[in-house]
Amino acid sequence: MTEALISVQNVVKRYGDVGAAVAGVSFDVPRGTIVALLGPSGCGKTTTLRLIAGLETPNSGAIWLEGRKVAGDGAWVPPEARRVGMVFQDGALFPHLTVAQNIAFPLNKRNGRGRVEELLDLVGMRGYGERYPHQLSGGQQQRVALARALAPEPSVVLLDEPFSRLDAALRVSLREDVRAIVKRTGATTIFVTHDQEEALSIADVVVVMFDGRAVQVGAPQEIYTRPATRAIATFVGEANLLPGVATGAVAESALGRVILATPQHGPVDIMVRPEAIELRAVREGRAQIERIRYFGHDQSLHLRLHGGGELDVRSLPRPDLRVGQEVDVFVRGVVVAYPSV
Amino acid sequence: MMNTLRRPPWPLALIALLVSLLAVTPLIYIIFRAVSADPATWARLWSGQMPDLLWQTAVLLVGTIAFALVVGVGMAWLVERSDLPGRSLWRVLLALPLALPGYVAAITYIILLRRGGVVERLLIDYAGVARGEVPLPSLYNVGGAILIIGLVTYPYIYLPTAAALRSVDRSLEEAARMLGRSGWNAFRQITLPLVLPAVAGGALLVGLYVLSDFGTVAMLRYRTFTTAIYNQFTGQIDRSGAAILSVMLILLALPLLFGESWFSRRKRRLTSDTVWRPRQLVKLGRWRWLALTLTALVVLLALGLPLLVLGGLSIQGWLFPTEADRIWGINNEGILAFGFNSLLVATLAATFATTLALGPLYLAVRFPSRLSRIVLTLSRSPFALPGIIIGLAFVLLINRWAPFVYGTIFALIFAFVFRLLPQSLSTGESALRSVAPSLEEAARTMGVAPARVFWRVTLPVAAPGILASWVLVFITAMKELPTAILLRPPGFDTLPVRIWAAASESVHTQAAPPAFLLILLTTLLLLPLMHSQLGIDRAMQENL
Repeated sequence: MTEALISVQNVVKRYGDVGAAVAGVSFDVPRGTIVALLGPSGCGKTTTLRLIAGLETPNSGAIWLEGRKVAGDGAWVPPEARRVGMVFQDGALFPHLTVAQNIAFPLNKRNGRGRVEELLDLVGMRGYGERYPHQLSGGQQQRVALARALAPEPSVVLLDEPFSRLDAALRVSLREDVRAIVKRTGATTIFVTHDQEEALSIADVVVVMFDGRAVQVGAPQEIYTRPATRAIATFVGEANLLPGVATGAVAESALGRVILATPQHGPVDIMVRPEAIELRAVREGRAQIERIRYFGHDQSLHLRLHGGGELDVRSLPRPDLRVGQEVDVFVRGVVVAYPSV
Repeated sequence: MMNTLRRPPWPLALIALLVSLLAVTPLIYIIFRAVSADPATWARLWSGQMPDLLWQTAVLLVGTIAFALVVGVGMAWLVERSDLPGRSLWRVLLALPLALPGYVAAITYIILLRRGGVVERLLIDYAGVARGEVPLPSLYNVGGAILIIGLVTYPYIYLPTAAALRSVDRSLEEAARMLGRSGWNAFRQITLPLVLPAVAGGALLVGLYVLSDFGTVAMLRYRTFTTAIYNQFTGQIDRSGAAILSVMLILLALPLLFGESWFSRRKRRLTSDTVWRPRQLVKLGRWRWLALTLTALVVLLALGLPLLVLGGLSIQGWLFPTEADRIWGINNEGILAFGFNSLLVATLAATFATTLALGPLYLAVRFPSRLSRIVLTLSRSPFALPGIIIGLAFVLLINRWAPFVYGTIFALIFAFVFRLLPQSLSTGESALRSVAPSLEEAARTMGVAPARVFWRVTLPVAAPGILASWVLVFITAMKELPTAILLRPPGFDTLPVRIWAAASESVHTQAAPPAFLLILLTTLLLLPLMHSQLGIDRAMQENL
């Protein structure tokens, strides 16, 4: 607990008697990392964030910030005393204040001015200080909201689906900027998202949440390539789940023999990502191409396996892959297997 | 999605609770007085004036609602859905009679139609009718009362109906057309059900106005519960009798109150706020000029004539003062003094009421719970009380517990605050609701304590809405007659009191200058609200 800046231990939050929004979540966040709380809507990720901010009180469990217990077992530190910056989904910029006044809101009057300019620079909004929030675009509003959250130099910054109201292109560029900005300030950051691509691309650590629980915590690569359950596998990306029989380090399936990430025995479902499959056009192979969806930069192929079952594959556009073509299938790298139920 | 920390800070809860307990006191006291009255008084009233009063009130109620419905719905449809010439001008002008108290309209028509009045002189001079044979319709009957109250209350139906017609999504009607309904059927099956709650809610507000109106019926000498309560109290000094009549009137008003709140909830559920596009207008063709004439007639009768007649008489009295003018001292400094008194009382009362309302409102908006709902309902309870009953309750309460306050300006302002509190609550609520909880939460995470958050974020963000609410409450305060009559300090006349005094002495022309000043002030204040962000349509609904 000493090296973790944020520690969430068995936190439970119930609203009325309609079950728990957060049903015992635990995770630690080391100093300076960017953490994504990833999950479908209603999984309790926003509630978890608000519990850390101090905007909700947990029913049980405890939360530590910088080694100080801020909630749990009678301890309670109100949000204004937690030194936590927060960026809300809608930005929550004060409509009656200018951009500069918004950023200066949490600052002391004395050292305010220079700091505001510095922050406007940091988020790339120099020259916008005198505008009012309603004169800014959605992306600009979120930049200002981030600057305001960073103004008092908090050790923790929380972002609640900060990009969800922006269009796709803006979202990608803004999230890259946000990552660079919080990395530069060295603030420990937690952000909530339901977009797996967003979580995987900017987080150092991803916490996957289902039904009020943290079901897996790990680096993005680990979450994507070694998902702990079938549900996580299909939530964080496209996944082919095929029946097979494991004998130690290998398994037999409709794709032939595959190498398992961890040794297992007996009937299993193996999980193969579409882009981990290579195809070779042959006269008679393991599968036939049924459908091709062309995206430009790549394409998605739907295959029928002669051994039974279907398979989704991603590949670069290739002239030899056409609907009706027989193909042979090769799996790159190791695969994850889950015991069959 | 979720709210801030659930438990309200105790100072807030305490303030809200105190306000609500104070607010409910007059109601409880009146009921207590009525219940503890001598059974003989009950029996006497039941067999005596009660049946007659019930009948008189019922006829006036039904007649006024019917008249206001025809005018209100008709005008709303013409302005919003037809190609009536000059729609945007009519849209504003048709709403303005809202600023006109019924007793001012009554004064206007009494002046116009009395023997020796403007109409009679015109008929004698230009139509050659002999003096004494001029056919003048009498206003002192149910027809006159319905006409005059209807002319000042139709905006209660016109405004919500027009708003509903405007907000019904065009794509809904288009979808109905695409599904094979004819234009009329689409209107009947889609638009009408969506607009109906607004119309019905407005009609019930008109009903509440009729029940609580005192000045108009008193000037037209039409007997309803309010005038009976006044006579019982001032004429016969029968306090128990007045309390019993008050309780009967409250019982009559309750179904209308519940109906209105039921309809306003339905309204919120039904109308959608999706993408709005200007709609196809119905071509009136050759009916266009008839429609224009009717619209102009409504505006002339409800707004134009009062302004013209009262304004004309005021200027005449100012330029060529008569003996009566000198006796009444209305021309110069006098009228300004009454105007100042009105402004003083209305400003103080509206400010206190708006401020007091913030406590229960903030509790209800940010910490929804059973407690906060009860607090809000209790604080709203004076809404069930017509001004005459609030005045009566305060006179009785003050004489009993604090006789030294009686006849001071404090008593008057105190009673006004309670009269206005329900309206402040309903108009202020939308202002506070417009402040997103995330704004306050953001301020909290930036190290600002809750009380300072309210001061630095909530109040400034809600300020425009609160200001609009204040103006509406202020207008009501300017118009308030019965509370002022019963509680004003001796010699402290407000504009409505002055109008009332002139009318009771049957020197109606002397009522013109204060009445003109009054409607000038209220109308001018109402105009900017027409375009305010709060939306006059919603806010005016409680402006009884």
